[in-house]
Amino acid sequence: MQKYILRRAALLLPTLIGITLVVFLAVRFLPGDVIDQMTGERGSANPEMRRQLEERYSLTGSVGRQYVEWLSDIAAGDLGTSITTNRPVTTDLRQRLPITFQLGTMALLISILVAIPVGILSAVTQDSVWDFLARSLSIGFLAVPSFWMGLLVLTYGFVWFGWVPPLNYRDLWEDPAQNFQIMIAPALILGAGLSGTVMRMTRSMMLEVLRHDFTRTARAKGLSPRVVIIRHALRNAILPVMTIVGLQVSVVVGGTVVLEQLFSIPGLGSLLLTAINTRDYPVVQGIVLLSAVVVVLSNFAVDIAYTLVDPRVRYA
Amino acid sequence: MKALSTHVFSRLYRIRPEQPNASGSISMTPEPDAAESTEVSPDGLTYTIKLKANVRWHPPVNRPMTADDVVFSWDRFMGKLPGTTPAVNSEKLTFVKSVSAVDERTVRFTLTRKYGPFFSFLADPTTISLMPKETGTAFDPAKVMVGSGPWMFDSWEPGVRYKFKRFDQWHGGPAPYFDALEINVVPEYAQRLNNFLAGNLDALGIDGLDYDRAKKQIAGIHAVMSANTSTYGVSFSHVTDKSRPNSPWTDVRVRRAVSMAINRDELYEAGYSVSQLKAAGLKVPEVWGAYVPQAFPAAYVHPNEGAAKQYMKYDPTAAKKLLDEAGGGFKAPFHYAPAYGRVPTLAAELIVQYLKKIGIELTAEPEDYPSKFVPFTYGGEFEGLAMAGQGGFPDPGNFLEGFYSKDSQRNPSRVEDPKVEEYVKKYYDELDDQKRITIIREWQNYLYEQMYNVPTGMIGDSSVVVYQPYMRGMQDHVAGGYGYGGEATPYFWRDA
Repeated sequence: MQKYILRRAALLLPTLIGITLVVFLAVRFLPGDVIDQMTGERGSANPEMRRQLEERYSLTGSVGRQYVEWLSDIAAGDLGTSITTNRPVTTDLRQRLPITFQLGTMALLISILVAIPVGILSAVTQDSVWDFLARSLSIGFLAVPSFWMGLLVLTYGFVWFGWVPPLNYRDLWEDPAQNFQIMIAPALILGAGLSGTVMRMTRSMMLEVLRHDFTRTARAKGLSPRVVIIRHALRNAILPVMTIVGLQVSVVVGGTVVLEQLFSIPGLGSLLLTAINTRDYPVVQGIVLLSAVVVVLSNFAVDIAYTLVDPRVRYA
Repeated sequence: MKALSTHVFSRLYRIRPEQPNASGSISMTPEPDAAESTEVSPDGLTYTIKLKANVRWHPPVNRPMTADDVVFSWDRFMGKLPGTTPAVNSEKLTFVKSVSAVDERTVRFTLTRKYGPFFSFLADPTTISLMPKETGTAFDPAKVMVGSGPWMFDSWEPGVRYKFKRFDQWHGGPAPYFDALEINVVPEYAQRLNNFLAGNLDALGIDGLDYDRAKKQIAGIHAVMSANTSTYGVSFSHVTDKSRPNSPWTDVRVRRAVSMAINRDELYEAGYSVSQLKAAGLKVPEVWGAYVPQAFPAAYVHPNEGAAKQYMKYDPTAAKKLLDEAGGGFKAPFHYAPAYGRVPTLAAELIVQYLKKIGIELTAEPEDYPSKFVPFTYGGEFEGLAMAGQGGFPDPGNFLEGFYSKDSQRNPSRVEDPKVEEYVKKYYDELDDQKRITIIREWQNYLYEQMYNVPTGMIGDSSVVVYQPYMRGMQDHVAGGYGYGGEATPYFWRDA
C-alpha cells in the first residue's frame, strides 16, 4: 500500500513540472502582451517606456531565464505581483480560493448525491419509465451549457419568482444564509452538468456488475436486494465512477469561470477571466498553476481512494 | 483604475458636471478643481496657477495641498522619481517643459509650444492626478489611495467592489451628500438589471429594450441620457498611401460610396432601440456620432450639416453608382473588436450587410482587443477595412489629432495629409476658445469631404442611465469622458 502511494506520488513530480512549463510558455506566446495592453489604447509606443515597463514587470531576458526565475520564486512561495493591481498574487489566491473551493465542492456533492442514486435506480429498473426519465435527464444536463442555464436562472428567477442572487458576497462563516443564497444556484447548475456524466457511468457500470455471477450468487444466498446492490454491486461498480468524479474536478474548475462571472462571485474563476483580459501574466500563471495542482492532487486522491474500495489495486 | 481616480484624486482642473442640453450633450467645460486662478503669459507658454487654500489631503496625510505636491505629482507621473516609471500617457506631454513651485500655493507650467486647450488637458483624468508628496513613504499607493477629492478610499476587492467614504473637508463642499459610495462590479447585464429592478442598485446603464419594463416595474424611476463622448467609424488601411494603387479605398469615391451605403438611422435604432425609448416617453436626441462627439456641442458638426452632407445620406443606389464609377465592388477583410460592446459589434455586423448590397464583400474579422486590435489594427497595421472607435478625451481636438495626424499612434487609416497637419498646428496654437471652435468645425468639414474614416453614427453601448425614484441630483450633474461620473457623484443625494 505504502509502495503504491509512493509510486503514484513520484509520478506527480514530472506532471507538475510539465504543467509549470506549459502554463509559463502558453502565457508568454499569446499574441500581444501586457505592455501593449497598457500602452496601446491611448496610442503610446515609446520604446524607452516599453523597456522600463518590461523591466519593472520582469519581462526582460530570455524566456528560459524568466522561467527559471519564476520556478525559484514559486519554490519560495512567491507567485509574483499582479501587474494590474500591484498586489501579491498569493494574497488574491488566498482570498479567492476558498470561495471557488466551496462552489466546486457544493457542485461535486450535488452531482454525486443526485447522480449515484439515480444511476442505480436507472440500472435496477432498466427500460422502465424511471430509467427513461433518468437517461433523458442525464442527457439533458449534459446538453445544456452552464452559461445558458445560468442566464435562464438569472432572468426567469426574477421574472417568475422575484428572486435575484444578492450582489454582496458574504463568507460562509460570516453569513451562512446570504452565502447560501449566492452559491446555491451556480452550485446546482454546475452540479447538474456534472451529474449527467456520473449518472450515465453509474448506470452502465451497475448494469454490467448486476449481470456478473457473484451478484447472482449473492441474490441466490438470499441476501436482501438492498445489500446486493449496495454492498456487492455498487462497490464493484464504483471504481470507474470514482475516476470520472476525479476527472470532473477539471470540469468544475472550468465551469466556475463562467458561473462566477455570471453570478458575480468573487472566486478564482472571475479573477482568472479579468487577468486573461488584461494579460496579467503573474495572476494567470498563479491561478492556472493552482488549478492544475488541484486537479492533479484530486486525481491522486482518487488513486489512493481506489485502494480503500478495491483491495486488488494495492497489489497491482 | 481610471474609473476611480476622479472620485479620490483632485486635478488642477476638472470637467464641469452640468445639465445636458436638449440633444443630451454637456459642454465638457474645464473648471478649476484644486486651482483657484490661472494667469497665462501673453505668449501662451507659461501658466501660473494659484491653488485653493482649502484643498486638504485625506488621512493619513491630513494637511493642505502645496505647490510642492503638484510638482511631486508631475515628477511621479513622468517617471522622474526614483522607483517610478513614466505613466502610459506621459509621452503626450512633451510640450510641457517644466513644472515648478513658485511659492507654497503657486505652481508654474512652462510649455515648449503653445497648447490652446491647456485647461482641458489639465482636466483630463488620464493625465495628472494630484498626489501628496508622502506617497510611497507615509503610505503604499499600491494598497491605498490618498488624494484630496470628494471621496476617501475605504476598501477594494479587485473585480468585486470599491468602497469610498465621504471626505467632509472636501474643497468643493458641502458635497458629497452621501456618506458613502459603493461601486459594484457586476459583469453580467441580466444580473445588473434584475438587481436594479429588485432595488439593490441605485443606478444602471440600461438597454433601450428594457427601459419600458423598468419604468413599468418601478414607478418614478429617473432616466438620464449619458453624455456621449465617443465615436465609431469605418477606417481604411493606408488610405493616403499612393504607392498602393490596388487599394480601392485610396479613391475618395469608394469611401463616399461606403458612407452612403450605411443606413445610420437603422443602426441607431438597432443599437439603442430609439423608437421603444420614445414610446416609453423618453426624449431621445436625434443626433449621430460623427468626427467629434456630440458631447462638445459647440465644436460638433452634425453629419447632415457638414460640407459633404450628401455623402452622409443613406442612398444605396447612388452608392452603387459611385462605386461602379470608381471601378466596382471588391472583397476585403473587415476588422472590429467585440470588446467594444454589444452595440458597436452589432453595427459592425450590419455594416457587412450594407456594403454587400453595393458590391463590397467584407469578411468579418472579429479581433481580440488587447492582443490584436490595440497593437495592430488601431495603429493602422491591417489590410482592408476596420471599425475603430475613440472616446473619453476632454477636448474635441484630441479626437481629430489622434485619428488623423501622421505622428499619432492611433491613426487606423494611417492618414498622412499635409492639410490635416496644418489644422493640427493651427488648432493647438490658437489660445482663443472661440477661434479654436471655428478651426475645428472647418477641420471636420474637410474630413467629411475626404472620408478618411466614415462615421457610423454609433456612440458606444449604453446611452441611458436609470436611477431609483429616491435618487436626486443626477439630471443637473452629468459628467462625461474618462471621469466615469466621478465629477458628478458628490452632488447626488436621496430622499429620506
